[in-house]
Amino acid sequence: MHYTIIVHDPGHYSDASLTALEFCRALLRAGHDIVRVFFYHDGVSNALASRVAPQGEVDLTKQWHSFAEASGVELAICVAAALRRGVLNAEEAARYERPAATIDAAFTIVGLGQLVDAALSADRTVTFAS
Amino acid sequence: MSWLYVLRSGPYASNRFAEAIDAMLVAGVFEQQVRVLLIEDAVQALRQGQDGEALGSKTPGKMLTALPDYDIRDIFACRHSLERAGLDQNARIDLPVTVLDHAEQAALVAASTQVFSD
Repeated sequence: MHYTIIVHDPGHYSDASLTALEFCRALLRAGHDIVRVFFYHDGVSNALASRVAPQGEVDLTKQWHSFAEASGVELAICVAAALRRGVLNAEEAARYERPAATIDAAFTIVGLGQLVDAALSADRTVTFAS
Repeated sequence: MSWLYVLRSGPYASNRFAEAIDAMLVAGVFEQQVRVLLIEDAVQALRQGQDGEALGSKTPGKMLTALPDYDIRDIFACRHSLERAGLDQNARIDLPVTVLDHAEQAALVAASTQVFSD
């Protein structure tokens, strides 16, 4: 079955982002396919390369990164939500004259149309919100 | 194919409400039949006389009244949430809203191809 996963939780409010990640891993283990993981609202903070998890807490950005690297699943973040929260790639940092890009390399900035496209391609769309 | 957006967050509590509206407008551009259900604190967006300017934000009520311009006309609200918020028809903005009890909301969810929540 084809799944689209939506993540609204940044990972430091609740365990919804971690649960989403575990759900994604379980889907692939069970032989399902993930069209795309789409991060929206505060969920775009999962893509922040500049954030640091306190000792003893899960580094979710790193965990999502490893998951994408191992599985090839696309991690997409909404451009408008990302800009609002300071998640910038080099292009956006230059465009808005900000000092640095802050996005982790495993994530891609896309438009909301990619969420609609992913939901249209999926048999199931599951949202993980905090 | 009908996509249901369930809005639960208070419209002034965070930008979730505004971002959820953005998402449904894009779905409308993709020619999906979009329906909106306001529950819990999200019904506050229906309150008359609100103005987001004082908070430096858009006015959620105006976002809702603009939805029909984007062909989003199926707007539903939870009866229990409206009653709890004291939002009878006289207290609400001028927008056609279908008021549903819990069983009707469950039926609406069941009849939708995709359900998105904030």
